[in-house]
Amino acid sequence: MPIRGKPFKACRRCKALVDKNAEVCPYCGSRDLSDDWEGVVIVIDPEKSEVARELGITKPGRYAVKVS
Amino acid sequence: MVKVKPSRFFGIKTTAGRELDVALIIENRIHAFQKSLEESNSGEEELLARKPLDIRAIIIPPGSKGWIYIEAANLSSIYRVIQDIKYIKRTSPIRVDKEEIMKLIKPTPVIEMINVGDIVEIVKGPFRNMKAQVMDVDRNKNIVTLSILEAQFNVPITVPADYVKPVKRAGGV
Repeated sequence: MPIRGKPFKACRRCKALVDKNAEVCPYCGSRDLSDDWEGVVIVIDPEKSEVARELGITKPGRYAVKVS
Repeated sequence: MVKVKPSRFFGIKTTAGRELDVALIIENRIHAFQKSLEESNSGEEELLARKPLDIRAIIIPPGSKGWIYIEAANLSSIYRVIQDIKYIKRTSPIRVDKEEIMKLIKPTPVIEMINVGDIVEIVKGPFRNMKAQVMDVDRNKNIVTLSILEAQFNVPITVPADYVKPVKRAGGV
């Protein structure tokens, strides 16, 4: 993880990483965003990716692994 | 029907603390490459020479220091996107099993590993760094009731299971 602080916030509902200044998750519309997250999965090709399939991710983008 | 090549996973050593930076640079390069392919007006021969990248995902497991993992169909795609990145320490990616990656990103929930009588360490909240004995486990609500070993009086406290880390099993293992 970056030393200079986290550049993203994570959505507690869909785990998507969003801009630090965002107030609404652009993926699911939730306002429940958290600064306390760990691990990142950047999905480029959700149709072929086995990791995306295991995690239930269907859209390309950046996702947190653990959100608290 | 087009046959999809199976995914392979590769580990790449990075400067500790720069894992996310490296992942974002790789992501940008992939998007830039895809965009340039779409916008390219060059001939068919040149397009064929520029094989599309078959990178599927970039993974930074929680707590990972100095390693990122890439899911791709072939190694050549990885070499193309990691070249000249300042924070990559070793340019030859290491093959990793899918099971190893899944263990890192889908760890067993703490509640599954805890039983009554186990000794745990509290890792979050006001009782952080204290050791405690598990008195009760509620797997449905994901909470545990603990008795703090360092306290003079036996006062049971209830905390979320994520707040504790198993230290010693009740049997002494």
